[in-house]
Parts: sequence; C-alpha cells; structure tokens
Amino acid sequence: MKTQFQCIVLFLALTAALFSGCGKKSAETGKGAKFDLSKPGMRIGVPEGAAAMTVGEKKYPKAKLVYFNSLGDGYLAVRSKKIDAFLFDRNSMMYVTLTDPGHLALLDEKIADESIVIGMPKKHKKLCGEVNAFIKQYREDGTYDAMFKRWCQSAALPAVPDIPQPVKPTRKLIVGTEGLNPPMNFFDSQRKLSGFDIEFTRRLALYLNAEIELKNMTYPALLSSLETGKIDLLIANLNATTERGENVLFSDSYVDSSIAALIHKDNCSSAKNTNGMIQKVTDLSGKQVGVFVGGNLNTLTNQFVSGVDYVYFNDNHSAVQALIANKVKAVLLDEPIAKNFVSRNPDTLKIADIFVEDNYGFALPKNSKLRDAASAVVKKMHATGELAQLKTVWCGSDPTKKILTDWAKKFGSTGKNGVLRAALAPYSEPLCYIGSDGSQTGYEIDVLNRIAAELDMKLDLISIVGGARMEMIASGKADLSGGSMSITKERMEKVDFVHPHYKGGVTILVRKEQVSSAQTFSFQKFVKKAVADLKTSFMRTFVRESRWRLVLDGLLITVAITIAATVSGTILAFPVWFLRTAKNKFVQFCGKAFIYLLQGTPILVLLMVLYYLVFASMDISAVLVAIIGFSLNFAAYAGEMLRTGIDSVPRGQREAALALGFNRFQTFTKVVLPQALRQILPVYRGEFINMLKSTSIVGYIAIQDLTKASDIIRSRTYEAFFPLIATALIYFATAWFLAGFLVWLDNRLDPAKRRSKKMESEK
Amino acid sequence: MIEVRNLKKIYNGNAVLKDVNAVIEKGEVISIIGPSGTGKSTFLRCLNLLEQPDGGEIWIDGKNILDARTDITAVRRKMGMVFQSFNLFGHLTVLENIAMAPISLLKKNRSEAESQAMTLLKLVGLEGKANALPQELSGGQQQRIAIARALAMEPEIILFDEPTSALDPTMVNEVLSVMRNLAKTGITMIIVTHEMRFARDVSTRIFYMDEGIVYESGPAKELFENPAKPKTKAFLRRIDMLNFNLDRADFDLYNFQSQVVAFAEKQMLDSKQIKALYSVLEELLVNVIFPEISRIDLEIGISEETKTTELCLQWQGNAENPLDSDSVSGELARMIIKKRSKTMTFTPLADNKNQLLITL
Repeated sequence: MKTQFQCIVLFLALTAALFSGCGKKSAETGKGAKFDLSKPGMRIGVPEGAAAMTVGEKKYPKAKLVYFNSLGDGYLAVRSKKIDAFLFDRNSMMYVTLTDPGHLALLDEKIADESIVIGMPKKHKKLCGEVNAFIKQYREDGTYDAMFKRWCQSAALPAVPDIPQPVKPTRKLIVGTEGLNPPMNFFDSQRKLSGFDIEFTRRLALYLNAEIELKNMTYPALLSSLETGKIDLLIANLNATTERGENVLFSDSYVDSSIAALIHKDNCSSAKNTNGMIQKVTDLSGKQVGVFVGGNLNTLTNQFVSGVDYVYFNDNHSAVQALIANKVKAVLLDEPIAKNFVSRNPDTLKIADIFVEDNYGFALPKNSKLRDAASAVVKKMHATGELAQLKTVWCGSDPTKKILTDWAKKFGSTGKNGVLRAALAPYSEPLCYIGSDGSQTGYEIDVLNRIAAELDMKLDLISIVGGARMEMIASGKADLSGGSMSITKERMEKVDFVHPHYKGGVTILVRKEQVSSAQTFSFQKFVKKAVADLKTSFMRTFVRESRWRLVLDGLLITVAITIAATVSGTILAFPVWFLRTAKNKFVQFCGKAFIYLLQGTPILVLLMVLYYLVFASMDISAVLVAIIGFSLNFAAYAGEMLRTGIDSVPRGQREAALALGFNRFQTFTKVVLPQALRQILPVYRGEFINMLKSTSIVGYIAIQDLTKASDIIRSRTYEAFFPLIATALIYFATAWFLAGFLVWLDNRLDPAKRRSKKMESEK
Repeated sequence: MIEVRNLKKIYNGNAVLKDVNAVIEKGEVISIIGPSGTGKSTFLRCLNLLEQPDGGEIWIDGKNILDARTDITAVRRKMGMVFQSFNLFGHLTVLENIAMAPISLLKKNRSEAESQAMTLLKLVGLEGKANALPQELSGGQQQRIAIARALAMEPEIILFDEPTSALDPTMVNEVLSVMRNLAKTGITMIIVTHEMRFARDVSTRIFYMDEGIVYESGPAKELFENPAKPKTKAFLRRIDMLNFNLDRADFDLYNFQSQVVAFAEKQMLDSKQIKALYSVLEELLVNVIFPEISRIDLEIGISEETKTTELCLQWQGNAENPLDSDSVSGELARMIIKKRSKTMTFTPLADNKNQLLITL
C-alpha cells in the first residue's frame, strides 16, 4: 500500500512539475548578448492570417517563423521561451505585459506601422463615409483619448460605460467582432462582450442612430462574413492590409497602434537594474509598482520620480498579493492601510519609505448644504481629541476594541433631518472595510456615524467599488462619498470636501529580503506547492468570473450536436445501406458515391463548405449546419457498418426464418437486425465517440462549443496546461457517460446476459 | 398432396433440373438419394420456393404455388424445413428459437407456445437445454432442436435437406432416431440423404435422382434389393467397373494385369486381396478360359462398400462351364480358383451366350 501511495504521489508531482516548472525560471541573463530580431535563426512567432504575419515574413527573412492559431498560444510561447518574440498589435500586447509584468515585456522599437480600421463590405460606400465622419468627431472631441487611456493603459479591465441606445433607430446593422483580444474585444466576467471595440460600437450606434446586433466569431470567419456581406461592420481591431483591401472597404484609422514585438523580460536589454533594493521613492524608477486603479497615488508619486512602471489593480488586496508573489516590486498604499498589511504579514512585508502627506476627506456634491455642518463636526472632534482617540483604537493592534460606537443612541438621534446616503469603497482596512460580520466598519465609518448622529440624520451606507466614488456623487446617487479618499486639486474641481478627518501619507510597501539559502529539495514541499498550484489553476480556470458557466454552455452545445447528429445519422444510415446493396447498378452506384465522397472528405472541410458555400445566403443557424454535416458524415460510416453487420449474419438463418413462414421484413427485423446490431455495436460506439471529439472543430463555423470555451478561458488566463487538460478530461468523461448508453444497449441485446437476467428473475 | 410437373431449374446456363415429375401422397416418407450435384437439394428447395424454378408446375393441396398470386408465406407455414447447417437463431435461447414462430405467426400466447416448446424438447430428448444458446450445443443437439423448431409450427410436411451430412458419425444416430420416431407419427416427410440404411428402413418410397430427372423411383425395399436401371445399381452398390474385351490372339497378360492391379489399388484393396485377384485372373484366363474359348468380355467390379470383387465373364459358345471341365492341364488352376473364390456361378444366357460370375 505504501509503495502504491508513493507512486501516485510521484506521478502527481511530476505532472505538477510539468506546468508549474515551466516559465518560472528566474534566470537573470547576462546583459552581454544584444537582442536583435533580425539575427538569423531567431524564432519569431506570428499570428496566422494577421497583418503581423506578413510583416514578420517580409521584415525578418532570416528568422525562423512560427505560426500560431491563437494569440494566447503565442504569448505563452514567449513566456515559456519557446520563441524569442511574438509579433502583433501593440495595444493588445501592452495589456498582456501589464497582466504578466514578471515575464513579458514589449520591445520599444516599432516593428511596423498599423492602420486599425473598421471593415465594411464593398457595397456600403455611404456607410463608410458616415463612419469616417464619426471617427473624425470622436478624435477631435477627446472621446478617443479618454477611451484609449481607460482601455489600453491599465491592467484592470474596466467595464463599458453606460452609453444610451438609440430610441428610434432608423436602421439595423450587424457588427462582427472576435472576443479573444483583450483589451480591444473580449468576454467579461458576465460572459458578455466587452472592450474598446465594444464601447466604440455603442458610440457609433448612437451616432448613426442604428440598432446594433453583435455577432462574435473567429477571425477567418469574420473576414469571410464581411466579404459575403453577412456582417455590415467588422469592429475587431482590424489591421488594414492591401490584400484585405481588395475585397472590402476600410474606414479611416480609429485606434493608433503599431506592430510590436512581445519578448521575455529576461531579454529586455533596456531593463534597468531590477535587482536593486527599494529604500526611497526615487528607487521606484524603472520598476514595476502596484497601485490602486481608482486612486491618485500614482499621480502623487510622479511628482517625485519618473519612469515608474505602474501596474493597476482593482483593489489594494490584489496589489499586495502580487507583491507577495513577487510580480511587482512595490506597492503604493496609504499609511494606515500599509501598516495594516504589515501587521498581517510581518514576516514578508515591510514599509520602505513614507513620502508626501495625504489628507482624507469625505466628498460631497458641489455646493452641498451638508458641507459646513459636517466640517464643523469634524473640526470639533479634532479639537477635543476624539479624532485622535478613534485613530488609536482603529489603527491599533487590538481587534477587540474595533467596534463601532452607537453614536445615534448617544445623541438620541432619530434621523428627523433626513437620510444621509453615503457611498464608500470598503477596501482599506482599517479605515473603511468589510468586517467579519459582513457589514462595513472602520475608522471612517465610526466618524461618519458620529457626523450623522450629530446632524440628526439617518445614515444609509452603500458599498461601491473604488473607481465609482466620484460617479456616485456626480450622478446624485449618493449624498456623500469616500473610503480613504485623498483630497486632490483635481477632485476639488468637481466635488467639495468635508474637512479632512485623517492625515496620512503615501507609503511604499515592499517585501522583506528573503534569505536565499540553498534550500534542500523537500519532496513534501514540492508536492504541497504542486497541489497549491493546481488549486490556483482550478480557481482561475473555473471559479473566477464563474468561468465554469462558459464551460457548461460549451459542453451543452457539444453534447447537443453530437446526439442530434448521431440520431439523424443512424436513421440516414438505413437508406444509405439500402442504396449501397441495391441490385440495380445505377442505384448501387449512387450509394457507393455517397459513401466514398463523405468518408473521403475531412469533416472540417465539409462543414466549411456547407456553412460558407451551400448555405451561404440562407440565414441558417450554424449549429444546424454542424448537425447536418456531422449527420451526413456519420451516415456514410454507419451505412457501411450496417452492411458489414447484416452480411455477417449467416444466410442460412434467413432461409430458416423464411421456411418457417416469416416474410422478408419480419426476417430482417426479428432475425437479422438483432444479430447485426450486436456485431457492429463496438465499432458504432467508437465512431460515436470519434464524432463527439470531432465536434471540437465547430469553432471554425462560429459555434461556441466546449473547445471554444476553453480557448476563451485560455485567452484570459494565459495558462496552457490546466485549461487544456481540464478540457480533455471533460471530453473523456462526456464520452464515457454518453457511450455508456450504448454499453447498456449491448447488454440488453446480448442473449447470454439476457438469459441470466431472466433466470435470475425466475428464481 | 404434392404434384410436381416438368420442373426445370437452370444455374449459370447449366440445367440442374431438366424435367422433374413426381407425386407425393399424404403420410409418405420419401427419401431422395443420388450422386452429388444432381439437383436433389435444389428440388427440395423448389418445393418451398427457397429456389425459384425456371419452368414447370408445383401443386400443393390443389394450389399451384408458382402462381404469382399465391401467398407463399402461408404455404411455407404448412411446410417445415430442416437444414444441413441447422440454422438456429443465434441471438435466442433454445426455447425462444422454438417458440418464436408460433408466437409471431400462429398468434399463440407466450405461455402456450413455451409449454408446447417444452413438450417438443422432451420429444427430441433435450428438455434440459431449454435455456441454452445454440452456440453452446453440439451439432447433433442443434439439429434436434431444429427439428423441434420445425414441428412447433404443426406442419403437414417436413422437408429435410441432408440433415446429418454435417454431423460427425457419433451424432448422426441421435438425429436419425428422432427422425425415425417422427416417421412413425404419420407426418409427410421428404428427406434428401446419403444415409442409405436409414433411407431403406424408414422410407415408404425412394427417389433416385440423376441426369436432372427422377431417374428411378419405387418402394424402398424393392429399389434397394433390385434396382432396375444401371446407374441406380451402380450407385447403390457403389461398384466401380473395369471392362475388357480380351482376345486370345493378342492377349498381353502383363499389360492386362498391371491395369487390373492399378484399378484394384485405386479401390483400396489390400495387398492380400490384390494378390488373390492377380492369381485368380492369371489362372482363370491362361489356364481355364483361353485353352477352350477364344474371345471373352470381362467385367471386373470392385465394391467400395463390401470390398468384394466380382468377375463377370461372357462369351459365345457351348453352354459348358469351363470350371467343371476335368482336363488334367487345368486342374491346378481350377483348384486355385476354387480355393480363392467365394461363389462361382455359371449361367447360360440367350443367343448362345454364357456367363460366368465369380466373386472373391
């Protein structure tokens, strides 16, 4: 037993080593060799069918080009050093480097120009003019700049803002996009299409007063759909090339970009000293520093140092996790929050430096009546020392003391002066955070309660994300906003602030230096790490953003296509067999032709022919086309199986049945078919499973099946191993389960098993 | 009951059945015998239309079954058939094999059909095998089940197509005894078989088929004991003949003997028998016949079955048996011949012909 257990553990460890080991080498390569893409033998990856591919072929003739079907695979190849560089659109890859700064970087040099345009079928000349007019407008009025900053310069993917849809649209346009290219177009956590291109689409729709139908499909499908006029606009970060321009219309450029090269960080010759210790703010230059996306700390820091590589996070917690995982070298935090993190991780974290003072206040709409009253309360608390007292309690280390005071009771406040709606972002412990009981608590909540009580108002707490603090005030959804919110000049232009209730500062949080002693290899530690890695991968692939729903949807499509095609293919097999075995030479020829044709055509080619040629002009669901294609293919094989099975039943039995007085039909159904089916059941089962696996290609005709779902997930997580293995396992489990039905059928038909069952029941 | 007129069947341009005529009465047991390839099975299979004849008429109970309007399945239900290769249904148990047709075709309910099946199994001596599958049974057992299956439909006629040809000798008897008992029940049976003894014992009439017709037919005992036509005879005796016209003037003994010996070896005579034949022939011809008679017709027949040799000599001349002569010169020869022969029969025939029949 012990040896068995050890074997299993060894196997698991080896598997874990496979995926956890790759790409995590922290080899600090020497700065000697210059990284030059035009050197002969350089391995350069290019995306199949994209403009970058042609660029790579023309510009680096001496290089060894590797063609990739999906962007995610290309990025992974760079990360795992299988290729030296990957060429693609700068904006798309910028996002990639921001999410994986530890391993990926962009080469500064511009590889080639790009013209990112909207694609339209040749017939839409008028539409093209309108689109160009919109593009001119959106560049001039600053919309483009704002969008670019929001989408293309941060690691956090924002949401598409609420752009109103046209009330009375005068036309309908079908827009095609891909959904596999963050930040331009991708699937968000609600599995809806989002991105720069989507926001652009909505704005364009408003401008054109058109109703938009969004369709997503793979790039080759997009291009052919554009050519055939199946879609009106292609808004998917399309690069205008001369070949493409022959068959379609291009708008003016709507996004500025160029072709860039993604390289591994280790090859980054322009990398400044990444090894140096961070002791003061100026040490941050050239390093990756994590910062809260909705805050102002980066702006503040830029006053002291330049060239900082900011990595934006949705909340402080993620930033600190990244720091602990050594993905960023430092995190900028407000002082009390930094102190809180240090107290929770005393062995790993420490504060390197505190610079610049920062004041926190609550934000109010401009000219709010509350401002003076609230400020008065705060000033009083400050004068009496109450504020300092609260600070000691909340910023101290004794959690038992951190309970909100019931100010309302103390002041006998009944809320007769109305409701104070306060929208706070509770992500900054100990100032404003979600306590263990799930409600908001913290220093700032305590102060707010006090203010509300003294003003005799009822406090209504609304929990929001950090980026929305200003919006809540601006839209009038809240009377007050905050959550360790710094008072800045910029903000003061838009809102009024209550007198600051907290004076803090900006700190730099760093890791404590690790003692890099040669750690002896511990098998247990290795296994532990492997298991932990597996867990992380699992969470990231399935749990995060409810990605399992994507998988489930894809699986349902896969199973639906398989079962429908099996049933109709089997039914079709009988006429096929009949034709094939007919005595009439011509009829037999027809049967043979059908079988040879369908057995000899690759199923992928068949599907594409059906979808793009046969059913091109018909508005037919792609899933139906897939079912038709697979049915035909299956019928050809099943028909031959039927022939073999039927022929294998001894002819004499047929004669015996006839001699007893059965007619031909009865002979076929009672004597021949049951035996024939038993013979072919194993092969049938194999073909069925084969077909289940073959359905993985339906992504080519724009169906989102299980494999496509896996692609989408991989394009977000940039992981290779786990999603792929998981997909394979799901296919296996599905095949085993569905084919189990056939096994049951086999048992039912097996006379020996039937007989023993019967004898059992007779006992 | 069954009347066949001018039946014709052609395979690949070869007329297997040329002009078959027969009448079979109710309750008869007909055995069809004959050499291979003479259309025995073809004839049988035409009776229930498993083969489609190319000419002629088949009347069963007053209906011409070759008429396009006849419901052939109804006709077949009254005729059972037992095949050389048993042809049991592999996916059903023995009980289901037997009960299947009565349930589907005679519309019997399951319990009735199954109890009838059990009765039939008892009849053929296999009631313990009710739940067996055909592949689990020996050939003899399968064939008996096949007979039971045919009987389940309560037919008026049963056709047997070489029922024991695929069985090894140990199992042949178990099937034959079932068929024997069946014959006693008075059901009409038509059997194509090679089992001569069985055919003789059980049948009412024998059809010997050859040359694409019913070459000879007759009551069993008569046909077997006194076949009228030569081919029938040859078949029944399983005799192979060697014919010679010998003339004293140019008789070459050694050439003659070598032919005889070759023939005898072909007939699987052992060396002792060949020696005996050799010496008898030599003594007979050289020392008994040729001194007195100048020309003879000699027919040497060796029966494969009994391994007896029959010498038939015919000549023109006085009605005298040369073996009865008391000439001194042939005395030794006569002795040797008498010693080695079983029977010696002299028969004077018409037209001054004489026949001497010696069996060894």
